[in-house]
Amino acid sequence: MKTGDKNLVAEFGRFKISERFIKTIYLFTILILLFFVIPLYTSEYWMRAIIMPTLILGLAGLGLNLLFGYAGQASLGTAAFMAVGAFVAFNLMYRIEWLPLPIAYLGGGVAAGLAGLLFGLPSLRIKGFYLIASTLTAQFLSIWFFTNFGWFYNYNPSLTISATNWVIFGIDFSSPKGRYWIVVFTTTVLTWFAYNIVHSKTGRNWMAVRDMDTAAAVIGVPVVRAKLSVFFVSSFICGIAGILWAFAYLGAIDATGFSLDKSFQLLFIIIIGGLGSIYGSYIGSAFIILTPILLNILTKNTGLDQIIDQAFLSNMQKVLFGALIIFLLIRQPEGVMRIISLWWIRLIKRQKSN
Amino acid sequence: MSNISFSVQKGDICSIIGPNGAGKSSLLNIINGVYPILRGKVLINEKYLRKPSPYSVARLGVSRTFQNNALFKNMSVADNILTGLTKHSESNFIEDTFRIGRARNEAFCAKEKLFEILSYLKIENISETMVGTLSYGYQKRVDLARALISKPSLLLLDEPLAGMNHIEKREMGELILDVNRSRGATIVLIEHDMGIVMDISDHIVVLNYGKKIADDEPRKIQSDPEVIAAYLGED
Repeated sequence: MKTGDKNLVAEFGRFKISERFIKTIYLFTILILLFFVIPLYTSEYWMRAIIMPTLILGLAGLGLNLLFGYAGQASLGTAAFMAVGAFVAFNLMYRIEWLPLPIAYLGGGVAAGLAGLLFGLPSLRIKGFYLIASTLTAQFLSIWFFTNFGWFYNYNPSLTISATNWVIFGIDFSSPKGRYWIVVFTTTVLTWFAYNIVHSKTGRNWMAVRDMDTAAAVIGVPVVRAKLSVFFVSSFICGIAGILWAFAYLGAIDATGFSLDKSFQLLFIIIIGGLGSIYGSYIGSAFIILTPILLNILTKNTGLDQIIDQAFLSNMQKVLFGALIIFLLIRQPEGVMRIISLWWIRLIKRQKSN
Repeated sequence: MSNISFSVQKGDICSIIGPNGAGKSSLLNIINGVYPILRGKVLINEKYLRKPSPYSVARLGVSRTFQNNALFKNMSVADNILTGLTKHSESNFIEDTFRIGRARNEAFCAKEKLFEILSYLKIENISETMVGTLSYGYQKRVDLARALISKPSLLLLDEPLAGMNHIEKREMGELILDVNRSRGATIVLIEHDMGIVMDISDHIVVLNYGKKIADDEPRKIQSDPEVIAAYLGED
């Protein structure tokens, strides 16, 4: 039996369907939906208020997932690295006018990566809770830094930064659709890169360090390089996500927009979605963004908002949201992605046994 | 440990034996570069490393297994085994990201090596299983596979028979002999099971309280009065 046959799910005469084939079809469907169907055929509300933040937070979650889920380095500084990316990209765009937009974005990402590298240095000595404390420094430092040094937001009285340039290769992307396409494109490309890295030697080294770093060192995994590289890559991705969050989604942001709340939110996203899963990051972020909206629609449609006080209702939504998360994590501690993959395995097995 | 000196001929199986706490594992860790050497030298393939580290020793073609199967529990069997190749990997980060150049070639070679080692140790059917869910015996095999995939010239085995029943021990003993003969690996192993040690070793080093008390062929070791004394606890 050839190895290719192991993936076989169904057979229609000469036409064979493998598991891989189905996955590829799924992936293409999602990409076509994201790139064309959503911007061209759905309302702007869906595109701008739901899909865009889902993708951006998913991307930032992916960055954190590489660090925490794949390499086991706990961090609460995610939002800080997003802030570094956004503020550096703003300054590159504003101060060097001829600089092409992609280069400015890349510069912001690299700056965030270097910041991550700097705050990742303690990881060579400490782990777990202590590392969380150390990355928390980055969090507090970044807010203080980007609020107190006016140069970084160009002495804007509102302390905010906003995009000054939306032109790529002579095409203006400042329209909502243009911004959306930038987000989808960047997200897709970075996710593909992350997928490659995770399935390469580097990714295996990260996971080896996560599972047992002493054994990893003894069998010849370069542990220092693995830890520092994951901090760089993770922060780079977070930095790019920060740029998109600040300019493409919100339009303008100040340093407090990247507060500890955001870091916690991203941590919840990957815990709900699934640690150590690339798609899990996006599923987690979709859960975080869609559930409150669904609850909102639910209360409106049932007419509850007519009877009960509005403030009470919005608090109850938060309680319900929290309860839902707890319930989910008790049922499946490994996250939504695990539930999906279990369904998938069961489906394939049933199909094979037929 | 002091005053220990021994050499292992290329292609030999050398066993290190001794009572608990004799310094066997420490010796392995010294060869491996885990423990720093205060005084003395380790030569591997006639090469001497001034400041040995586990990574630099591993790159000289030394692989090892662990007493307690130090495997990566949340990784699949295939991924675990592939980490054994990482020490010889030349691809850089950019190549890994874009899946080009050396990263592409290495991934291709790695796949072939993986299939070969999986079928050699008869564990093809569990290649995608998470290591943490495997039984102890299978974990031992995965540990061995991880050490063997890089085609080591020197293989260090830390109690390869520990926790096995009689039949499993026989099988593992034969496997070790076969690794030595058909794959040309020089083997240094630590073991307590005297029967199998005597069967498979070309020579045996006996340690007691951090000192070498004997270094000879298995036949002569069996009749060495000092060794017998150390094992029976006589003075």
